[in-house]
Amino acid sequence: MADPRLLELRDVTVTFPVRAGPWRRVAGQVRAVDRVNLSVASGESLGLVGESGCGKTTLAKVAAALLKPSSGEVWFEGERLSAMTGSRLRQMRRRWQLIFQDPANALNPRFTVRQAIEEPLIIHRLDGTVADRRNTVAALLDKVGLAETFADRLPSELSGGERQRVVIARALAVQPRLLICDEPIASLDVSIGAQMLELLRDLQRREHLSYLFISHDLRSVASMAHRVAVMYLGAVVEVASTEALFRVPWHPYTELLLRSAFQPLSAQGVAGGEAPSALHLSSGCRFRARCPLAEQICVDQEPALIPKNPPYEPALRLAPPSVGLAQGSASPRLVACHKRP
Amino acid sequence: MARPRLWHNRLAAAGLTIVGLLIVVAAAAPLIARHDPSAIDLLHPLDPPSGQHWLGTDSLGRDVWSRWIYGARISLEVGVIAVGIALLIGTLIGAMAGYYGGWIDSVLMRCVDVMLCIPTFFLLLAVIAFLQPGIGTIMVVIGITGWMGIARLVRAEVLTLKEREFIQAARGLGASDARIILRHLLPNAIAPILVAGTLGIGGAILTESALSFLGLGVQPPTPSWGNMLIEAKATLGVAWWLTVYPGLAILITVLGFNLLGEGLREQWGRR
Repeated sequence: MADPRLLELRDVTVTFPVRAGPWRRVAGQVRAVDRVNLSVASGESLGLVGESGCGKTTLAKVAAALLKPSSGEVWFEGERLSAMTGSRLRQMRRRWQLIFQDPANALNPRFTVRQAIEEPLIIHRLDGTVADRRNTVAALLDKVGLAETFADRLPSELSGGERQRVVIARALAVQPRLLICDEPIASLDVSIGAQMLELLRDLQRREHLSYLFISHDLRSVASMAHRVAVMYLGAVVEVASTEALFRVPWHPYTELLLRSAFQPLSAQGVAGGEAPSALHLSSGCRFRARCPLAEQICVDQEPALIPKNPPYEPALRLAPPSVGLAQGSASPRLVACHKRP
Repeated sequence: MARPRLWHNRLAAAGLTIVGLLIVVAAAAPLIARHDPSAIDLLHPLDPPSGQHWLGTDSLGRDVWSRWIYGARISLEVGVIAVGIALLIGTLIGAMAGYYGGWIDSVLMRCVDVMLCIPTFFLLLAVIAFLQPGIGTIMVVIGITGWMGIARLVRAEVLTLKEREFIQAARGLGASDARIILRHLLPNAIAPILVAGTLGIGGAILTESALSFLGLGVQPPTPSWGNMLIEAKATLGVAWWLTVYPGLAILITVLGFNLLGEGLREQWGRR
């Protein structure tokens, strides 16, 4: 039987060199993504939330194989992408597609809508004749709710929402299994964004798509995702089913996020401070500077993700390093740290 | 759409007119010329301008008007083809350097730096010393000594374009490097490349004239403005028309291309 997991990130770390000084020497390494383990199952929507700068987009690029991880592995349908290069990888690319944050930038300004949507068909030799391609473009435009009359327009002649629909149609052209949506509605206004989410949900049903849905907006993630991963400073600090995560957040950072999203400012209490720089990560837990529960042990040791089943098991602040990701238990919840009951 | 706005810019319009006229004259040379440009008439050397010979005759009795018109043909041909070669090399090298980055970029750009360190004219003379002078040689030589600026320009364009998401999107769709460069990067960088090319044509014509003047360019009897000038040098005191007209032609042509290039640059609003 095929692996139910479509996309799997194993211990993925991405570091960028920081250059400084007159000779632009490497002065340090920024860990944009730090030992992330995630998987997206077939037909599933995995949400990924976190504040800006926490490495969400970098992770999206790694997942879409647009960026090679510094260490760790990316697997897709049982094949190891991080070992692939050249034409082999290019052929694999039709199995997943990336939806970008800013559709104005994601379309070549010189391509008409038709040319943009035809390009993947031509690259992967999916439609032989010009007439076939015409029909396919019309069908794809229809799928995303655009009339065929849009086909001969340029991106500059479209609204933001229409552009994003074209980007989605282009992605669907290769019949992907997975769409990686990197803040797909962040650049759209609220009502258009809501329509876009509706379209994505609709497409999931009809095309059996899986999503890696990345957003800083908890509301849209809540409406899209089956499971949610919370990212903080490059690391995933909690993974849980959407329902469980929104009902009882376990990690103090998740709680902070939820509070800031769903409560009026006056009720939020202490703002919780700024995230420290990813360039100078201190020892121990990366969240401890802002954590209301920080103790001495948080300075000494960094928590690892451990599977937990709600509700309240005996408090386990730090997992032994040997405990990795467990799959398959009824409702596994992965937390690095949680409040004592 | 480009036309009307270009026409509103007076200097650009003047440039376009000059270049347009020049192209018409060069294309229709056999119709406009009143004599064979190489026909020697030893009975009428150094005739001043007259009804028979509009711009007079040279020391061999050849019709200056006809030679002048055929010279326009040569100059345009040399200018366009030399710049075409320079554009081809410069675009290829600049696009590769900008797109691949890393050590490829370093190596290619250091080559550009080295080429730029050598005085162009000295380089031209050195290259020509090893080759047969002639119109083909001169095109190639001007081309291979003039691509560095274009390479830098294209590299800079590609560097900024490369970060745009539609390039990432194309990569994500499985497009090959060649496809990304040819279909996505270069078409979006075409405006500054065309400006550089237009400005380059003026320079190439000037270089051709200078080389021909030194006897290293277009070889007689093929007329070019440059070799018309050197032939006129000996009789400078008695036949002013032999130097003034080719000189004016060079001046106006280079001016025309520069005005047009500047106009395009203003219109497309970059660098």
